[in-house]
Amino acid sequence: MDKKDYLSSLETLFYLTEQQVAVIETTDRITRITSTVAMSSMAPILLSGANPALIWCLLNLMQIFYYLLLINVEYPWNVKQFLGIFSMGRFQFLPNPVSWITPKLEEEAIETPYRFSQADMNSLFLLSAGETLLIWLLTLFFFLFFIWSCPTHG
Amino acid sequence: MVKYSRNIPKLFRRAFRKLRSSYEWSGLLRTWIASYMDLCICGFVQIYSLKFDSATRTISSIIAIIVVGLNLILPYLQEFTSKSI
Repeated sequence: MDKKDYLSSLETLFYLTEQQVAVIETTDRITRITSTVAMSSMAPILLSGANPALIWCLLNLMQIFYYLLLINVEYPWNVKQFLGIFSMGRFQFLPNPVSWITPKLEEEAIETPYRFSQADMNSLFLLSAGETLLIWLLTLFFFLFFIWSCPTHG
Repeated sequence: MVKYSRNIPKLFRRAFRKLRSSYEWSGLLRTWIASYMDLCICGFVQIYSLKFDSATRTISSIIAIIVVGLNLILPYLQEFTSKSI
């Protein structure tokens, strides 16, 4: 009988005490509330025409933190929880406009590489980037509206 | 369409004019730049596994190719627009 070597990776199991879980959950809740407040302040700033530079910086920062999940490293559970909060930078709290047109969008999901599926992403572009497309469409709509309402620059 | 836009009250039109000039750079282009990374990641993951076996998957694949293409063009587009100013 041939002797063969097989290589496989096992997920590391981290042990957390009840106290640690409670601390993580509290931190998670506080960070989530802070991020929600920060993100909800975005719309009035954008619509009032004030300089939104700080908002864009906040958004970029959130995205950078969230994309750390895509690095091919097995993070501990608490780090995953913490980085997962920054999914707001990907506008995941918004509805996906494509699912209004095709309600069975979830069924069309394609097999996704492991690290991406762990970060709630899917290979189907319309499923994972639908919220960003909504932002694009809204911005384009407002821009076209402003062009229509005042055709000349000034 | 332009005819109807004249019916907008002057006060609103003045506000919209101010918004329009800031929207071109702080709105449209900045939204694109902010969502650049997200769209690139989602687009490349879709291109990695292109599927044309159903209408939704075909549309998704085509949109992903277009969006990634537009994203690759964006740096050149910005170079072009900054020269034209």
